[in-house]
Amino acid sequence: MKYTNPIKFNNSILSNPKTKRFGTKVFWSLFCPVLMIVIACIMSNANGVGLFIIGDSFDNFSNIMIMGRTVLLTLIAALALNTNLNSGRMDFSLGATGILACLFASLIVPGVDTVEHIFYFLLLSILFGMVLGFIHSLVLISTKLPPIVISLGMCLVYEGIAKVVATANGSAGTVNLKMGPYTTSFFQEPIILIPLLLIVCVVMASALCYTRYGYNKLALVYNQKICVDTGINEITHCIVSFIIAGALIAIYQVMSSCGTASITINVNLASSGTVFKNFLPIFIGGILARYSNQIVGLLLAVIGTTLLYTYGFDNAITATASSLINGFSVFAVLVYMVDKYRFINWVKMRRYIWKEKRLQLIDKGEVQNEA
Amino acid sequence: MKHNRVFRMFAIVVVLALSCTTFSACNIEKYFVFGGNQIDTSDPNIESFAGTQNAIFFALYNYYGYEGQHFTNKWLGMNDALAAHGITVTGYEGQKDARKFTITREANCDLPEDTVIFMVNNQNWDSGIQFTKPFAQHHPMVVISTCNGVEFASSPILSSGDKISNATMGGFSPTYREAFVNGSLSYLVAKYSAHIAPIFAASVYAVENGTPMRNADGSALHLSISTWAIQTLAEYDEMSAVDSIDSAHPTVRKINIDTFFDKNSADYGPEKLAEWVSNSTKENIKELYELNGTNAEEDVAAYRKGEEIKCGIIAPSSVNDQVGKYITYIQDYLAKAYNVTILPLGSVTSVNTQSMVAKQLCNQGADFIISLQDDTDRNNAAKICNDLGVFFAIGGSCQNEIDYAEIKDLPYYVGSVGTSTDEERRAAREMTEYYLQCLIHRANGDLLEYQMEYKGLTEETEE
Repeated sequence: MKYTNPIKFNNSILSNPKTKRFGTKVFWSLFCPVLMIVIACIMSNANGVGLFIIGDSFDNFSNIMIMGRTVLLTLIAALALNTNLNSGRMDFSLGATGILACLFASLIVPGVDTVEHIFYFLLLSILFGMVLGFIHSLVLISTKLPPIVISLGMCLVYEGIAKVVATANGSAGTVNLKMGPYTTSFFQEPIILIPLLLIVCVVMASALCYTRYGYNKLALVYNQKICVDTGINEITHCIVSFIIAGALIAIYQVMSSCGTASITINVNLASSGTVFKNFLPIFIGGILARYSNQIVGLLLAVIGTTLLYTYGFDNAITATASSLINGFSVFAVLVYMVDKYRFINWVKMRRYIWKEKRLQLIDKGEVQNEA
Repeated sequence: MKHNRVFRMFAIVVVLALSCTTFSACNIEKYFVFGGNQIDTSDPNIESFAGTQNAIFFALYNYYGYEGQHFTNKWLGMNDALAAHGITVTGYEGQKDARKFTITREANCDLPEDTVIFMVNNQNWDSGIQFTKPFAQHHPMVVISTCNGVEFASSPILSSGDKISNATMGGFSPTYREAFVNGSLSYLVAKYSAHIAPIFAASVYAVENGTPMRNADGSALHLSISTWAIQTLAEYDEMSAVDSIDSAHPTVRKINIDTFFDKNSADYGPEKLAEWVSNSTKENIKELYELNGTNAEEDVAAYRKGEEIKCGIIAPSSVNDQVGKYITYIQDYLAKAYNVTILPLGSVTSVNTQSMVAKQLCNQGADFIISLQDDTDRNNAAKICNDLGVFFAIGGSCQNEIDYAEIKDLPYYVGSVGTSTDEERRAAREMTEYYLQCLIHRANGDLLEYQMEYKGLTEETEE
């Protein structure tokens, strides 16, 4: 084929490759979350409940803060799960760790009625969460069994201990915490919410993106055997991962417990619901992370999914239908992640065939060529 | 190197802990924008509804919307009150999602123009969807729940910043008292725990005589107590003390009900028993409780002697405070007074259903079984017990007419005691009516007078 078009020099800012690349990144990062928020807005408004605008300015502000709290809650759970999931350690026991950590904390600080109590409760829960995560990692390392077996076992053990500590009858129990005027609204206060969000994001971003820990984690995601052979200490990595996950899930559980002023104890793996219901933001976040970094990707995914699945769907359809859609979405995203090239190749093939057909038609003169 | 790292981690933890402590110590509340009811709560008995708009929330717990289900029945009571004020609600039959109900305001509606009736399902969500966001949107006067109102609504109410009232049907427990103290509960419909004594006595009577006590038409007992509406902390404390399951001084003693089972007595028979049970107003039960403080010795003398019989209890796997009290009352007092051995608790789960538990208890040699579980699979349990020749009785929860009609003629079915569907509907209606009246009286400007009159408060009692 002979090249006939003259060479063009175009110095406009739009064709600058750096700007173009940045633009592509921003576009693909925001595309999915913005689409979700738009759908959520439409669904919410169609049902007479605004997604953002619900009344006067203070009401709107509180509404946004309530949503911010839910976003932060999901983000923390997703980060906790993300810490271990990618490195091949599926952790069923996360929910149970959080519940047990809070329960131990509630033995020392029995109420969340004042701001000081909430602070101490949070601090103690984080401490116990770290200890429990540490124990989990020790068990995993010393037994050298597959993580899925250990985490299932630890989940049952932690649930059992929680049940004994709370003297719960039957398969579920509730420990009521003393409530006060700030209990539910504590984590939606801007002065708490924004610093907490920043701390979590900065700490996790620096851990995952700028330290040896994050480097090792990424390395372990791809091939554990090679990593270990090249000198990565997977034992230290495992311990650190579980301690971080324990601390994060404890924060999650404290936020959740403050919302209802109670700790709900489950047995028979029911506590692993915490893990499963956060799969979708993690997977979408994993896809979006390609265009930014892990934390930004996850944050965007969490905002999108929370607004759509919690606020958009809950106002429009029943909770059961919402969980069904959630399930399908997780499945679809998972299929895409596992075998995305088949999908992309299929799209490319269709486009190619379409082009070919069009060219044939042009050759036959049935369609006028615009060029 | 390693020491350095350990030291660094330790330092980070110390810094975090210190910063959190300073953060909490520096009186951070003054920067808070939500929560912290700034409104004067100097008079706990008066509901000021400050900061609220003309909206009422109905929170339905475990709602299925079929006839006879007692949670549905409680909603029907609320619906009755709304209908009387010209608010028509449709589409609640078979509709589990309360938000899908259709609410229409009729021309004859006497509630203020801007009244909003808002329906929610009482579930344990913490995403803010159930209460926090709707509170910010509608600023309701009151949340009226069919059950578990404190568990789900109290904490969001406290943090809302508005003086939202909370009304629910429930029982006496430390959490509920605390909610009364901090103002997050203002109307409680409760019943006393010892009301299950007559059905226990009737079961023992049935085992002894080989046949249960029957109504005049040959059907099984269907006893109903009255519920108590409690509106102030003082009243709560008073009635909570009366609701005693302590074996040294219970609300109901064996000697109180012996007369209904003694064939030589003038009071013998189901009619008198049903009448006595239904006369369970606050005053009557308080009087009974006070009487029982003085007659412990007579009661001990009247304890049942003779052959020991075995009793099985069917209870939910997750026992709430109320059911826990029934169990304690049976184990601590009734077992002793009637010389009954209590078998290990039969726990109902989604897998181990009530009929299966009943069968297990029968196999363990129970002479009679008391079900404290709700109506799921209960009739099957009664039929299984009937086939195996074991007496079956229902205590605590409500038995609707449909269920009753199905098993009332079984020879081994003793009967039930609890709140009847009519009573529950009435209590829910009364509770709703009170708040609808508050709405109207607030619009008329005589809210305070109305509440003083309704709650029987005078200037003196206020002081």
